Amino acid sequence: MSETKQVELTSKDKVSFKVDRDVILMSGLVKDMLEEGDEDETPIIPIPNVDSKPLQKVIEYCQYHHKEPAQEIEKPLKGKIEDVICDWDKKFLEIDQSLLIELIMAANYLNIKDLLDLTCAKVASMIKGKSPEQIREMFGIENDFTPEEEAKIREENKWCEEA
Amino acid sequence: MNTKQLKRKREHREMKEELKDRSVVVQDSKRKKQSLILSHLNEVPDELFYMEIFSYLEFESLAKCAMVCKKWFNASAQTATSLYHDTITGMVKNTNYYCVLVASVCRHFTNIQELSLHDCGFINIFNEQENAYIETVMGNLNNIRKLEIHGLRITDFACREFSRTPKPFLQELKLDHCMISDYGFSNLARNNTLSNVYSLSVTASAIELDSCKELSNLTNLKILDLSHNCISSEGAKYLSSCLQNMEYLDLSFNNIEEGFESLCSQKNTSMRKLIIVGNNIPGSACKNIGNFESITHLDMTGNPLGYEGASFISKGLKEIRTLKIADAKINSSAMIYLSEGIMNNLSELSLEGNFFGDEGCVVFQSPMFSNLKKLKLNRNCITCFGCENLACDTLKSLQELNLSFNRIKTRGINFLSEGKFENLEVLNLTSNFLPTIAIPLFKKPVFSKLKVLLLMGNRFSTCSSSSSLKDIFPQLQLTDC
Repeated sequence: MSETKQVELTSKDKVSFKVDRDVILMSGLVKDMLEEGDEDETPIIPIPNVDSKPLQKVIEYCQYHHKEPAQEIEKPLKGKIEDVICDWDKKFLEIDQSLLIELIMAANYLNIKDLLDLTCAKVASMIKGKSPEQIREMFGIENDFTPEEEAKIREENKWCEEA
Repeated sequence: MNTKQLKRKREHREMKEELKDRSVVVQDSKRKKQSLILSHLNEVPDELFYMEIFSYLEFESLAKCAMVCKKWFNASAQTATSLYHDTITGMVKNTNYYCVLVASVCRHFTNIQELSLHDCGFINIFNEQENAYIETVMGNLNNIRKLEIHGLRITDFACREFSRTPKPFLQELKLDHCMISDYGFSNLARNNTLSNVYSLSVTASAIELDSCKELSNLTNLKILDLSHNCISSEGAKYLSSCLQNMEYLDLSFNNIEEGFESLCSQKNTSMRKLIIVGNNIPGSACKNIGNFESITHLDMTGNPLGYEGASFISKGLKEIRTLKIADAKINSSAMIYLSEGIMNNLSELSLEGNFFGDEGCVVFQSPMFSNLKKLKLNRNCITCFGCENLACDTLKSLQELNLSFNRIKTRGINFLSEGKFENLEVLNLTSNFLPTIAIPLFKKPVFSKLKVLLLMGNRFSTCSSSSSLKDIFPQLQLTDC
């Protein structure tokens, strides 16, 4: 019985994290890689798309949730996301927006479905009930419709402006 | 979603190959490989992320997202198409844009099973573009099981588009306030498109004879609502042949008149609820209503039924529980016919606006009314003497009594208070002739169970009456006198 076997993850900015193998198996990507990799030593896995900050968060998430599987979030989201997730997740999501987006990328890349669902639902919850202008402002998106297109869409969407 | 999984699989495979390489190659070469892996991620399009996020949004938010920028527009349309390919439901107001989405969905996904376009309003009803969207939608629903459209104009062309292909799975069809012409609907019903439908509702359109002919073949129908159309007495004849399995029929506000006789011409044991308000049906045409022996709910308000109608209904419908025959020319002699029947389970009776006066109230002593829980007698010229007739033993299970817009004065309350209304919870005496001195009469134990007492429009001097009423009924919520 090998006890806590460890894995070493290297982030984009070359920071190494040592994580229990069981924990990081939540990542579909790492799991696939470990199946191929050498078994006896501590494998080093490069995560070249994820910075140390989001990677740290990902590991934090895995450490909590590999024992306590997250509850599925219902689609479409009813109300705010805070109403449907556990306290730990609520605290976990108290992060700034850029980190949140990085987390989505990381979760997608590492193939951690629960984390991807959680972060995506969080963004959806932020979008909900906002006007297009507010959404643009929130995510720093430029309006690339031509004035004619915009006028047309606006005309067609009067109902949703009023709501 | 599939593209995403495929992509990921491909990515993994490449990663694995890479790992194999790594195990052969010396550790130092690791760094070179990194740039390779990086380029893989860049391949994953942003749209995929958006789809993940958008899948948590309901239609209204999605439509707003579509207005943010071009990328989001495409992403939200993609989400709509992938998410809603089985079920589209949206409670959206006038929705040109919604129609665009739905039309595009329908074009790509012909396997939509449920579609509901609700509350789209009348604002753009003659908008040609919108018509075109609906035509596209209607022409692409091959596997539809349940279709509900409300308040969007369905043109003759859309109807034809719909019947172009068979609809073997269609079970529920609701086209309310869609301004369908008779020609349009008869086309829509052709080619057996509706042969498996059990619930059909086409209201506020122009359904006439031709449509009724098409409908006459539909023997699977259980629920049919054709209210607010132009069905004539001849149309009713055709409809009578599709009633075998009918449980709920609403033909209100058509022009059925004498045709009601042929509508009821065949024995039927499935019918539960029949609503046929405002059709100018004379009492004589009710001759066959006894064929619908299993009816529990009948609403024939606003038809000139008279004593003949009252008699046929009362003697024909044994199972009936709810009977509504307001404004039906039921005078005092017709009331006698009504009371001499077999409606022993009757629990709700509406007789508003029949002007049968005090004499009409005598019949409530008939034991047939001993199970009545709800009785509506508004607008019947009832005075104090009518109240005396109502205060009989047979009405003791009454829970709700409506006597508004009559001519009841103080003595009427006196008479009522001598009755046995042990279970009375709601008493409506709006717009009668009650003066302030009538109020103390409500102290009587008969009224002790009252929860609602309505006294608007009487002759009270305001301040004193409301305060004394409060003394009598501290538990009551009194509306303004």
